[in-house]
Amino acid sequence: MKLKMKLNTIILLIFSILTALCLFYMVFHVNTNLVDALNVYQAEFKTTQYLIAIAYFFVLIFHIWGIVYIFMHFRYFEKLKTLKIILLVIAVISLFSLGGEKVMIDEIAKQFKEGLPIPELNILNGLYVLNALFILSMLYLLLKTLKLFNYQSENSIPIDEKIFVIVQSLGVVAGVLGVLFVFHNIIFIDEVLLIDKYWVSLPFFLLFLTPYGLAILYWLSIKRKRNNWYDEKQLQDILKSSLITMLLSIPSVALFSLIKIPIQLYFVLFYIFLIILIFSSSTLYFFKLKDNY
Amino acid sequence: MKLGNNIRRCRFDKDETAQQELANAVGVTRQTIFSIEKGKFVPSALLALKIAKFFNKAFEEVFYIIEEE
Repeated sequence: MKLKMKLNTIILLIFSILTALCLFYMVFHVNTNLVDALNVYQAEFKTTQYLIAIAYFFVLIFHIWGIVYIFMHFRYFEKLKTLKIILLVIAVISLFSLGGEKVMIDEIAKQFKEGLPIPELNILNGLYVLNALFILSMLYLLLKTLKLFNYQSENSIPIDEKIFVIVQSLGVVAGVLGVLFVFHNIIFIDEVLLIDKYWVSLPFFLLFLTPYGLAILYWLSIKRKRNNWYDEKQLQDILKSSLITMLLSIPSVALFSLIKIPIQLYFVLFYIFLIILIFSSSTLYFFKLKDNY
Repeated sequence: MKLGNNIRRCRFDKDETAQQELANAVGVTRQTIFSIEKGKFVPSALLALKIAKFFNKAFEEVFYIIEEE
């Protein structure tokens, strides 16, 4: 187990340096060679665009791997708790911002082509700063972890409780974002545009689900070799939450069905994110909060 | 009727064992031990016996019934 964690740390350390270089490459080209970097005229793809696409892919994979690594860290090490919590928050926001960057790039390319000013470039650079902050903080965590291996030779007590709480917390975040985004789209976006361009918003919903999905996959991966997936209190809390989810989701969905929605897909999305929100928040309440007071 | 327990005292008697240590020994989370200690969660017979065994005590020395009016 220690070897697995150490190997992960070293590989991710190398990967983080490569990702930092990729991000630097992207920022450099977007700010100095906008026409090629953003494929402004959408002619044939050039080498720069391929390299930027690969760099973007690298940054995305690094985010996903980084989040899984933080979960692993929570499980193996008690130390650096505050740093890990802050890092997880930055990781999730930075991951969400990757979706925003894609939209921003398309928008900048469109406006540049039409000769309009491109103030969005500043926002894009701001998002790149956020990505850079995540990469640098990850580097710091990785270097600190390598030190921990030297000083703390054996401290690999499975801390499943923290992972359980993180999974539920990410569920709450994903649920809130998803439900809000559904309402945002229905209320603020033009109906025709919503129907024609519904596929534009789908990646955002997928992005909202990604941290939660990664957390669940990590939970499954650590639990698959054991007989007991949850301890008995967790199981009891999950059962109570399931009942609450069922009881609350029925009237909520019934109320939502009264709203005129332009496309049925939003009904499904609302349902999925609402279920995640109610289930995760009630599980978190029963597991952590209820007994503390 | 409620299930009372002396886990806190037993932990104190056994070199001030931490909740996490007890939790690891019986295979549950620290939060579960915390909830049992506070009387907010009633453990299964198996878990209760495991806890008693951890302290090398008889079941009724660790757990008892609280009669309510």
